[in-house]
Amino acid sequence: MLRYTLQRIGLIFVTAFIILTLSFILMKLLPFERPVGLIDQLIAFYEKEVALGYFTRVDPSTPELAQVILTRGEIQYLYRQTPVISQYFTWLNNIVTRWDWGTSTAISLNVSAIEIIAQRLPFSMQLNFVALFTSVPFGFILGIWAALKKNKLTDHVISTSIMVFISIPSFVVISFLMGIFAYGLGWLPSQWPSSSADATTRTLAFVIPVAALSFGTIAGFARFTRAELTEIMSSEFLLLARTKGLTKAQAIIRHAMRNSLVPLVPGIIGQFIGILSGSIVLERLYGIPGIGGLFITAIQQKDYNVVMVDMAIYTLIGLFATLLVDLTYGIVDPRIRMGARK
Amino acid sequence: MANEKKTTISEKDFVFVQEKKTIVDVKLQTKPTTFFNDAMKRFVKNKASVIAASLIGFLVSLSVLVPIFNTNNIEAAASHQRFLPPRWAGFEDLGIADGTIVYKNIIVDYITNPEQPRPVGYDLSAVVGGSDGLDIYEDKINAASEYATGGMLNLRPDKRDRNGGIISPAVFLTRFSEFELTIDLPQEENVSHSVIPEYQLSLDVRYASSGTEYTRINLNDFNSEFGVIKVNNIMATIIDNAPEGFNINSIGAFSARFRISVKTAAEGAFPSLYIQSFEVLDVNNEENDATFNMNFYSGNELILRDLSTDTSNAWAFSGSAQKTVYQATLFRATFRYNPYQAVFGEKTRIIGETDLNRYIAEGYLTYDFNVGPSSLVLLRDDSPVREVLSQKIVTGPGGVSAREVTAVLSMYRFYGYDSMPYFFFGTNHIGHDYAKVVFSGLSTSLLLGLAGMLINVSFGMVWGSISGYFGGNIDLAMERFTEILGGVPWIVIMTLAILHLGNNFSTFLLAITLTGWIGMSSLTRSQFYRYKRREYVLASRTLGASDWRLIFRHILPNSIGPIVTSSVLLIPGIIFTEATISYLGLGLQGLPSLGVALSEAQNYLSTSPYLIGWGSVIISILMISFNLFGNGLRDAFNPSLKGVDQ
Repeated sequence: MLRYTLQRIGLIFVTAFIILTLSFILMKLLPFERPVGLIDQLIAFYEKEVALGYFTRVDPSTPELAQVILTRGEIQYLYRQTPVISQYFTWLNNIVTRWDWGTSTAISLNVSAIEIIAQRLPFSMQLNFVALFTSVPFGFILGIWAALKKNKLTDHVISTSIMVFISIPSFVVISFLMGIFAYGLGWLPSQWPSSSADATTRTLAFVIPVAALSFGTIAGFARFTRAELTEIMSSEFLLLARTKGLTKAQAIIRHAMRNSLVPLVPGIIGQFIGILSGSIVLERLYGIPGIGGLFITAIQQKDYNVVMVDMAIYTLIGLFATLLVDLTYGIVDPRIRMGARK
Repeated sequence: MANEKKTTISEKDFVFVQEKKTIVDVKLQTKPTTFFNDAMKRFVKNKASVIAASLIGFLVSLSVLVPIFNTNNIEAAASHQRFLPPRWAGFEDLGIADGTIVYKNIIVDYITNPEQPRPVGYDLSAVVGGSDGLDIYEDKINAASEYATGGMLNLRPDKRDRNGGIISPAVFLTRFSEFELTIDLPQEENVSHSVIPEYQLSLDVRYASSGTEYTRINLNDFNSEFGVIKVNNIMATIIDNAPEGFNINSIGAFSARFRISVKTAAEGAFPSLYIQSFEVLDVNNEENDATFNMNFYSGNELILRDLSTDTSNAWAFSGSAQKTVYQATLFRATFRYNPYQAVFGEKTRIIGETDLNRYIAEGYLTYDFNVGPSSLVLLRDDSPVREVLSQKIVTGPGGVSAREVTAVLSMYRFYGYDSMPYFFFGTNHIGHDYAKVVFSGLSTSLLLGLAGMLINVSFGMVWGSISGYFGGNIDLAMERFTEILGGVPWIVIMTLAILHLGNNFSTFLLAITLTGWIGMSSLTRSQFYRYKRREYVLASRTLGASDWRLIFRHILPNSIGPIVTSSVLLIPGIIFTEATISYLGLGLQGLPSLGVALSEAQNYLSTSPYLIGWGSVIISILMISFNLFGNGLRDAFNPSLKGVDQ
């Protein structure tokens, strides 16, 4: 098991490495986006880039070689981008030796990309975890309820709503929630409040994004739980449990539920990835200062260093979550041995 | 056992069925059914899926027909008809979709014409019920407004090191009269706040007939006495405080400026002084209006002086302070408004000679510029010009003069409509018919979905078949490749494609298909693993069938069911991805899609919620229908899975 896990972790880093390498090279092949700012800031920026090895200074006698020419007072500063491949190795070297992922060129000039991400990561994680922990119990309860009342009115109502909520995109849900509860009734804030807002407003601000994120997830959990439980309810071991004299409640709680929850645990982790990518749109629409909204802003402002770090986070979370799903299969159900040979 | 039947069976009852006939192959009497026919039969029994399929069909036909038959222009901007609510033919009197919209809390102008209040920024003629249709209520605001009355002045120092106040413009006080100052500082407002203000009244007097040198005279000390405060004998005070050696007879009127100061607080909140009114009057001659323009009777009035173009009567700051209006009275109204009437009803407009000549040439009317308004004769009922009110000559730059008329125009005819137009979904932020925008977008999205699905399915099936059929090292290598490609988040692929190739239809298609085929290939691969070891395949192989034949005659036809189902579900997936990308602001450009239509409407959620409402309803119906349809297909192809996860 340990060997398998280590192998998988190794593979994750190889995959992430390949993905990030491709992304870096593809992104650096794009035309260089010049940062905008005061001359002192710009010179500081290019000097930093030179120190990091992405740019070289050009001798003022050969201005035709320079891509960037800055003039401060009498002195001219000339810079030129190094070739993409050498930039790539410098980038790799900087990350491995100094953990330096470069500085922002547009979002906030000369601030390190890691720092920008670190400021915003808590908001995204907070929101995603709240959404996850809200949707798990609701999803289970609805799914169990529907399965117990199979083919009755309750089941039909729940199943239909599951269908509807799985289908409706989360941005439609948030539009409706904002339209009704924020603009229409005025109960909830229509935008993510600033950190200076009072505690009530900040708590209320969670309602709309969490609801918009959870609806789809709740529906997903409920559908899965219902399917699992329905299958187990018709299994032989449950019949045996009833014949040996257990009441229906005992049989369901002790045997059916326990078994039906086994495949759901990995599902929870899988859903976390879903919530994470769903929240990109949401952060954008609700003005939440998280990494999802940042990713879009960075792409639009062509702040590639920030995009790279953001991309690395999303890629790594995605890959590790897949591993975690595979591993939990084995933990919750010892019959499943991941990576076992034929 | 009373009614027990006695059955007797004789030997005659036993007859050989085919005693005399030879047994040969008989042709089947019933028609043989195919895999797809069988599936179709089961599908038709599933009502929800059939309804979903017909809804999809309906939406698809709308997406084709609406852009063809709806003649409204969605290319050119038509800002005059922005944000019109939905208006349906036949619904004019039903109260919904009748083209009216309820506006709440709109400021009402009572100042211009108290007899006929009108909502500010709206056309009174388009308010349903006119002035009587306004549901007016009183509101208090803490800001200056030209439509507000009353209110106190809130005066507050804002620096720790100096007091703050205001100083009046200079007024001339005649030496031969006497003046009285009245200031109303409402008791309740001034003492009800945490910090009770201390104020001082003073006077700057110029003991000369010209110059800028003013002498300051304090009328009282800093104190906290509120209510209506009067200071008498202003002129006597001025004369008493005259500097030594000043010849009192040398001047007939003193230039003076009144000052109200509030003592600042060294720490904590700054105190606020609430002033209702300030007045200096000539006690001997009430008609003397020397101080009239300087006096103020409400906070709103005083702040408006600062905002107006003529600031000669405005009070300046003395020291460092802030002045705001406190509790001015304003009227607001809730009313039902008909924007169609406002945009397309009859309006008085000035139109030039050229325009009028064009209508004459088109045969709508005759008009003689030499005779004037009385010469208008309408030749056709549908003339855009209904009436000419007046005519005048204007001289433009360079001395060119032209004639223009003030005319009553029928605006919908003016904009080229035959009758008051109907917009089924209303109009968007640039005045385009939103129904046409949505359905044109839907056709783009469906096209993208269909094209993406075809590419994904064909590529994915080929990849999955090879990988699944041959297995071994080929499978291993191909799997690792898809694993890495599949590991890249879709947003990254999308972004890189858009950054490199720009955001047009083919880039989108490329970005969607770059990773989209992976799901299809892994499904095909697992199906191949399932069927390639079956006995019938082995039998065919031993008979010498080629790989090609095995794949296309035996394995693929058997594994096609789930592939068809997930192909159908690819379409809504692609539409959903496209809409998400558009929501993120990276969407298609120049080519309106459903996602673009929705994301544009998102910005006007608070003011025109019906736009996003309609768009969302359409995309939701589409998604639900596709999912139901897909479920129905799955059940039809594989009845054993029926109802497993609905």
